[in-house]
Amino acid sequence: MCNRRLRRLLVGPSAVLALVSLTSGARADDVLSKDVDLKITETAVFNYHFDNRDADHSNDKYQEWLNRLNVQATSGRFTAAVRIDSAVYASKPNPNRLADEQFEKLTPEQRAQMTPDELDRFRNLQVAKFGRDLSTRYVNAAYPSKIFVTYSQPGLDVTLGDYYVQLGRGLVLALRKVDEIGVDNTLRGGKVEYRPDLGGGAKVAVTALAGLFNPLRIDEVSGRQLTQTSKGFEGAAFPLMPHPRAIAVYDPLPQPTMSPDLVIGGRLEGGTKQVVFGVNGVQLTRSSDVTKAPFLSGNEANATKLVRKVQLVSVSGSVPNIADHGSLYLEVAKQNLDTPLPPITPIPEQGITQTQGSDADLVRRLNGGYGVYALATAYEGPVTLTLEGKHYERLYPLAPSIDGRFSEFRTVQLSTPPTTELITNDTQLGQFNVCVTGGRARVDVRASDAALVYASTGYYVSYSETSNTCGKEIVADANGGTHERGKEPGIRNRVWDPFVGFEVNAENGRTHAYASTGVRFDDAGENVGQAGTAATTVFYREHWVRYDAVKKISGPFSLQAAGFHRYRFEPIRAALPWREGENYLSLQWAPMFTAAFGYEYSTEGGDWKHFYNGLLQYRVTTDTVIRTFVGQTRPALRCVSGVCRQFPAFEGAKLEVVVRL
Amino acid sequence: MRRTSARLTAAVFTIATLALAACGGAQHPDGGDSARAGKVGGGAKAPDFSVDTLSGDTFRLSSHQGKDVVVIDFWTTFCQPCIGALHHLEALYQKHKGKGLVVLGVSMDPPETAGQVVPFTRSHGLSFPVAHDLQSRVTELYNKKSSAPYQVLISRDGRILKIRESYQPGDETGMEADIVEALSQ
Repeated sequence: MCNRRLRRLLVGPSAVLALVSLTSGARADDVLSKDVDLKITETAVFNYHFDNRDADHSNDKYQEWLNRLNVQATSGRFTAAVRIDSAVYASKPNPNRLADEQFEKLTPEQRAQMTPDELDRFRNLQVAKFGRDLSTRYVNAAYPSKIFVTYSQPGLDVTLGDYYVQLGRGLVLALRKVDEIGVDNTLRGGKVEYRPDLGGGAKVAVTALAGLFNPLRIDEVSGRQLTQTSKGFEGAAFPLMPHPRAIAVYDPLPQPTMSPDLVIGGRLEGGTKQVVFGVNGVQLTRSSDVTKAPFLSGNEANATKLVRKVQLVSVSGSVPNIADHGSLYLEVAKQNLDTPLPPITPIPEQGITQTQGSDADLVRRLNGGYGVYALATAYEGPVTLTLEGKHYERLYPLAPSIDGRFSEFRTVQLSTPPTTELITNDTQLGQFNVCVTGGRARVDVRASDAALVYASTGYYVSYSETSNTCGKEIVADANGGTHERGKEPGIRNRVWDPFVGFEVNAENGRTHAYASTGVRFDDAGENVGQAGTAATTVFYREHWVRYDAVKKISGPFSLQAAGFHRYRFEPIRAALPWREGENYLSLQWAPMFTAAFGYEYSTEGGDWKHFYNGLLQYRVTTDTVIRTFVGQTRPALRCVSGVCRQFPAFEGAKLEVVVRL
Repeated sequence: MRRTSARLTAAVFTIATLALAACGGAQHPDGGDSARAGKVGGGAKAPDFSVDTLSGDTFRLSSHQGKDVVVIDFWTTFCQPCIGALHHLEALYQKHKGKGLVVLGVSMDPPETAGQVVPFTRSHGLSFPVAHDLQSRVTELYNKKSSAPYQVLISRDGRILKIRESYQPGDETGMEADIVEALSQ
């Protein structure tokens, strides 16, 4: 029954593409089969939040049901899919209650100094503040987060709807899904990839794409929702997405908090099996809506948010196999900032009174950014050597038109220049990667079938870790005039970060021990530190160790211990170093059960803070998984691929159910 | 108004859940009721795709239809459970490749770790073809949640026989049983 209904739904949109392919000689049965295969993935997460012991009570004592329903159908060469995301909240934090809490925190002395009118005003301001903040959080919603239909035949792939895409190594465009940090970015539009079979090892590929930027609209960690008008770009329809809604008296004039940007681009690739060259290009255009809503915070760290249009182009060369002993990749990118944004329209009801637009002169100084990325791999016998280098100069990642006040979405970006750092690195501070030169060397040695050892070191010089503009700002000089700061030593950071590790397997792979340890030395060009602390050029220090060990016990049973410990010191942030870590011990009963106990800790702020939790996973079938979590997790900055976001502490219970049909 | 919206949402998902229950079944991880979904032809048709491998060749799924049993294994260089799963998959590939087993490793590494993909395959001794799914084309078709490790077993006639998400020591027994069964059909 499911199949018949879906087939009818598919016939319409499929017919257009079918005509295209029929004219190219494909048989009708190949194009649209009589049978439709259906695949459904349902993921439901239920969270019960207690007080997580941080100072912010707007994320305590509520419940949520987050749901993702994927339906995918395949017929012949067509695949169509839709994903419905939804969020339902209960016992949501109330602005009046939060305001009362702030009011009760006033000391008797503070109250005595305020008149009754001032006390009323204080409370009303608190209600307005929390009301405005919560008007875009914990809002029930269901929307089609992803929807697409693809047609695939040898040499040709056509997608209408949502698609992920990366051009080159991400310097120009990288839209992808990283569940760990709540990132799931696509373009909604069309993409065509044509790769004719030329024979003789020759390769040609053309990719053309256009679409509107489509990030996730609900941040599952904070419950924050992105809203837009029913129009996407300059009047083009972008329906069924969450839109601004008046929430009681707190936000009578709700504004959209995002505007889908138009992205047009493509890639041309050609070469042989031995050498491949590519040209990538993309243009991002912001809708005129961005001048009506608070997309400019007035202090943008990312220069691409200062302009209406951004163009990025790159050329790449790749040698995938050099005489069975290595490979090579090189990419050079250039960025152009086009059309500084005019002054934004103030919205006093939203607390936005500034009218500033882009500083055209600053845009001119920051324009012309470029980047070079290179990767070489060499291997002989058990030894593999990797050399990775980068030189980026004012190469800002493409930032979307999202309300700059929402920290939850500041990590959303449309390009991701490679960092050449560890994936877990959360200490590329400031705009570290925008103006940086450096690289990494790594050697892996397969000591035996069961043992691998490796060592790596990186060295970087960044002029954007302490300056968002790579020194392109105007500063006062001693003569009472001004000058461009330039790349003076005061904004230069030098970074070393060596590490070593090993992997050992035993008992036919059922037992293993993996461990690594490293340090990071980040020194500023001039003294830094908080008032009251000794002058120091130490910008950041870290010593870390990671481990993961599994021991086969008997039969299907194994015991696993995994975790890390970090010693950290960042004088600008805290006067004293601190320690933090996570340790998990789990009993695994293959293939069905995993029971884990976790202990996390942090001494940031001076005191030891302990977090305990328990996790139980039951694989009912290979297609049905149930996970439960009860307890606490520490607040942490989590990074994947150079994109980091702060996760608040969690205290409560979670239930996740995944079902595939 | 908001209450109505919440009720509507709840109703939609109640209906959706019921629809899911009506549309199909599942199989036990140890293969206990593999008779339902483990048989050739019992699963959904595997969508076709083509992707370039690290060696510069092109892997097209449909070119193996009617000939080989295909395992698509999704991993990343920074996923530690993936190392164990790949270790066993390589052993299974060596043992059964002569009987028609084809393995495609699909790296989902983002730009930051793209440089580690080739060294990883070398240092971990992977001999089967590996593709770096830069466009997320294969991932989007088979692995909606971008889970790792994540394995898809495809029969000789191009149907999805089994999907395995995550790996824990001991899972390799079930992996091999599934592959052997698929090869025998």
